[in-house]
Amino acid sequence: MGQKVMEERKASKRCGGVLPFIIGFLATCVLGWAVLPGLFYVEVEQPFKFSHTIHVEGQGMDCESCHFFRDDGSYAGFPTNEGCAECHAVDPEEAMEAIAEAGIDANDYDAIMKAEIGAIEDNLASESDENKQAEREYIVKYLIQGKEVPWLNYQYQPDNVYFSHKAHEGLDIAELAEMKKELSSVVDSAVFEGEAPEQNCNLCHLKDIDKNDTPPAFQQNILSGYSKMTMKMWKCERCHALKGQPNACYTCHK
Amino acid sequence: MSVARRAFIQMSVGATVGILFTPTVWTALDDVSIWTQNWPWIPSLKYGEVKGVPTVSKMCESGCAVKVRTVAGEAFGTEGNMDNPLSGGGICPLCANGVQVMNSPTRIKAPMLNGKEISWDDANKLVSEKLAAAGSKVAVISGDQTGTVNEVFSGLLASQGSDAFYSMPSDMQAADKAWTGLMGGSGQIGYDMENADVVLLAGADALESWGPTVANMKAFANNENGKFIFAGPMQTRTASVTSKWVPVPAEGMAAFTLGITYYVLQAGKSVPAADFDQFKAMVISGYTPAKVEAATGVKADAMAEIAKQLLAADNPVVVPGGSVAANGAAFALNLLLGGAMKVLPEFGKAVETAMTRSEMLKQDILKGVSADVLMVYEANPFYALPEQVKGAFTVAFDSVETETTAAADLVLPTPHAYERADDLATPYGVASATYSLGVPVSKPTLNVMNAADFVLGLADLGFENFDEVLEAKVTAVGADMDELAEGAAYVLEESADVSGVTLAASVLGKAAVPVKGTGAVALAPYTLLNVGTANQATTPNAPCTISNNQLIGDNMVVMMASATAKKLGVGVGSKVKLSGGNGDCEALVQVFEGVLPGVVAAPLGMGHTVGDEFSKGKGDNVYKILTVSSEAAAGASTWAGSTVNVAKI
Amino acid sequence: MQTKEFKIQWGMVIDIDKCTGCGACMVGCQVENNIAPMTKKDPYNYVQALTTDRDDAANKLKTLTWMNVYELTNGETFPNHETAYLPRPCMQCGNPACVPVCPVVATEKNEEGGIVSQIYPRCIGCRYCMAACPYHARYFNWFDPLWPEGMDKGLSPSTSVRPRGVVEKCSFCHSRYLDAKDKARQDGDDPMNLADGAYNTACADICPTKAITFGDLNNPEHKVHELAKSKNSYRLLEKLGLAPQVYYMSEREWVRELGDNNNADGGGHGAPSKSHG
Repeated sequence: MGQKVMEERKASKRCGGVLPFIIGFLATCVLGWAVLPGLFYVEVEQPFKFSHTIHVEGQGMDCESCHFFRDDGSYAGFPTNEGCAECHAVDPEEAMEAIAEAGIDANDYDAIMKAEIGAIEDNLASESDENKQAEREYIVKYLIQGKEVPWLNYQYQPDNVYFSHKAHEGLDIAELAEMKKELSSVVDSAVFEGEAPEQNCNLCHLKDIDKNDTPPAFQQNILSGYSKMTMKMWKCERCHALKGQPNACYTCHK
Repeated sequence: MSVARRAFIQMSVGATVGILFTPTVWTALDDVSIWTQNWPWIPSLKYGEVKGVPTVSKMCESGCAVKVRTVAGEAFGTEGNMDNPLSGGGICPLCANGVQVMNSPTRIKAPMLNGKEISWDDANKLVSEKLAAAGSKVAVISGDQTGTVNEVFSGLLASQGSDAFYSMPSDMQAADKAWTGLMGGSGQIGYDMENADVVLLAGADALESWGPTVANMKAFANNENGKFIFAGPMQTRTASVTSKWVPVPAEGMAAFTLGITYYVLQAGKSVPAADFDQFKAMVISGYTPAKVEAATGVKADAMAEIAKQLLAADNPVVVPGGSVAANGAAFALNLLLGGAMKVLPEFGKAVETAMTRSEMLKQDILKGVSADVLMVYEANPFYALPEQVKGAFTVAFDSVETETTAAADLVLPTPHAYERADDLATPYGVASATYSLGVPVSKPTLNVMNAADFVLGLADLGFENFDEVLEAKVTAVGADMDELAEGAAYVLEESADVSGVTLAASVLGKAAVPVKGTGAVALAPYTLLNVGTANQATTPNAPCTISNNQLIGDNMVVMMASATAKKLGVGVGSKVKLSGGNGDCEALVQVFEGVLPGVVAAPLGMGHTVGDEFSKGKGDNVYKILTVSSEAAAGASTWAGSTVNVAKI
Repeated sequence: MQTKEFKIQWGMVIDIDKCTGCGACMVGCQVENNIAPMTKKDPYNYVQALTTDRDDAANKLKTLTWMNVYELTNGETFPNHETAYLPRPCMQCGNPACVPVCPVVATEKNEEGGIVSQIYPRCIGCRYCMAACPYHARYFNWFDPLWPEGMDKGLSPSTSVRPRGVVEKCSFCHSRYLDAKDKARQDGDDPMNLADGAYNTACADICPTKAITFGDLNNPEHKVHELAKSKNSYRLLEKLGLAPQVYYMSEREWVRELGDNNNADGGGHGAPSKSHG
């Protein structure tokens, strides 16, 4: 009787053993690194397609036309309708009148865009249909409504964070390249490749956005609602420490 | 234990350990911790360009020059306007909360007739009909002391053949009645408190509730070596920073002033006025220090000391508050002293048929108002003067719900001060004629219309809209529209002519005699800006600034000296009923040694029955118990000398 | 514990002889820092709804008055009675009592300028710091900040909105400091050597009598530097050794003596308190 049990036990030790443990371990490791992180994010599209290349290359605008420091040192990140309307100059009153005349419900944006109202169509500057439609969406849904476009900020920070672009204006990518190994967890090393651009936006923002035609989707965390790109506190602290800048709480919080 | 079960358990354990070696669990915990702080009802902030837009605020009767702070075009706060002499960078607690009042849910959203919404066109038709039927039986009550909108209302009255323009009771009115009514002067009195070396505030709570408070406070702060003396029945906030408090009962203020004048006359001062000899004789015989002490309780030594300081000063000024007689006595004293009292000329009119400011201040609202069509502009007479005001058909113009809009037949919402173009001309008390203009900061989101625009649609005064009226006014004033729109003020240094002015000797002697009511205790009502004025209730963020000396819970607090409390048989915390005037008020007692014995000090501005949760049902309405007595000699009514009976409950 | 020394020391000198107690500083502080008016109803907190209404501003134990004006009295009877008003922001002590007691380091004094920071997402609401502060300068969010409908569309961008359960206090309008540094950089000036008035708190800005003067106590070009050293200047509760960075000034001796509750010479207990607020 004892021998049979011993044999059974030996059999189970051999058969069970470490393998299921290893299988389980490796399976979740693979899942946990490759699959699950992606599930935490849902892709949200920007309100409409804004193409940097059309404006920068096509219209010859430079970065400062829309993204500049104001007189008081604050940074104008997203341009307001006032700026866009300098070229996308559709008079809201004229457009609303035309819509009313055409007998369309002012709240039915799809119908308005389909109707191809003269006041709006005359202003469209794009060539392709896709881009024309993007312009139409901007004008109908936002410009003539007097509403600012609710752009999704890839680097969105919560209200308790005070970030000053002015304080970081002096950072030079070429200089920082010397520290790229220490900064590897904060700044992707791809940023330091090639010729360093004049502005240092690439350090934190989407690389070479001025050459982008279709803005990438905003990856929203399903639990916290924040962007995947949102820089967490430890990254700010790491770079501050490496550059000898203060890490006092009030340096960044409000 | 079979192989399958053991394998399953081992695989699960492996999986559990494995997942811990991946970022999944840790980032999930981090995300969950952020999720726990994402409370959807906590508002998030808006960012954008921050600007300070200059404009004019009418939240108090005088009006002030402010800068409204906006972010991405949305107003969020108010600050002072350094470049404007009316503000000098500071603001009062009412304007500090202006944006919050503008965004309050008690804003009136559309024109209402007997509680039902109507269109502006229908309102215009209705009012036109009523006006046509009423003829000259039309009256206007205005709560705005300084705006050109008054000229528009006055023009309307003129076209109806009426002169029934009323302003809410104010020091400006009492001063005008004394100066132009009794003394034959013209223009408006001003006081250069910034450059005076001795300032006697004879009843004028200048640093809290008298005149253009912020401008007064700025003058006080800039006056490095000046000596300020406050005379009154109670130590108001003004008294907390003046060099001295002289306890003087409100009804005795005129006599007190004449008592000081006695010494000044004895020192040989004189004025080239037609009735100077008569005046001197009247004071020397009727207002000797002994007589004044007997009538008012103010010690002769105190008056002598003040007179000495005024005589020794290079540039003294007496600033009156209270009855017409008190104002007249102060002006006479100022003329004798020849100090920092100024007489300011009035600016030109925009609306030809409008009354002058002095004419607008002639009617005595305390005597009562009765009309077929009564228009009330941004004033709350149904709260402050409940018995005196009656109208067969009442039209109330205001931006927030008040007792008056609740009682009115037709309610026409006006834009908030920061949503409209408005102006202010020479608030009462400033040292030079000053004109300021404001442009809208925010776009109105409700169905509102500027009151002046509505009135211009009723009568043909030669203007299409209020903007045209303002342009005409700016031209009449002689100022530059662009500079004004940027927040600068237009200041005229000229003084008006004072020759031909009399000292009202025959009237003043009789009018200055203290007259008190029949109640057991004298009542000293006082106004605190953070508690609210007659026209503006306390603002949303102000209730936490209201101290336990004014309000405990929902109960108003009245203050009295310990001697008074002992006599009345009450102590700290006793509940009492004050009866007088048109009713009674309930209050709790607080012992405060800064009140004249025999006087109870009660805060005005509480006891609202209509309004938001911050003002409704708090305390009691002291306006109910004020008694109106007639200054027969001066031809005016006054609240000074109100008395009450106090009973413990 | 030692007093922390910084090159820049932001401080105030408040002239009691100019303060009329009007309360504009209190209201302005609330508007600048997004402090909601106290409303009784809370439609979101279902537990609260089952019990009683929230408190309104009459309950002074629950109000959030980062800047609080106290009324002082000389304790005499009529006619020798005198009053004065004393605005009290956070003292930003050089040697703060609240910092060492925080279990999670939500409050620290580690920034150049000496402003004691209070980080809301880190605070767990234990209120130990409130117990420690002798000036009662710290306030707890007993309730959620709820504005009357529509009133929260115009909020100040300077300060984040705090949920219930965290402690808050005056920060000398710290984001204005960061804004001033940005402006200095934009103008080509040194952000660590701001001119007098480049950075000013909301209360000092708004005060109609300019009773509150704000600036760098260590910088001889700032007005507060001289004012703090005047013979009429004093600090509250000096004896506790917390080295507050807010000074008060008054020509009246009874006001100055109230700074230490009339115990400046170490009189101990027994001397009656003459201040009530």
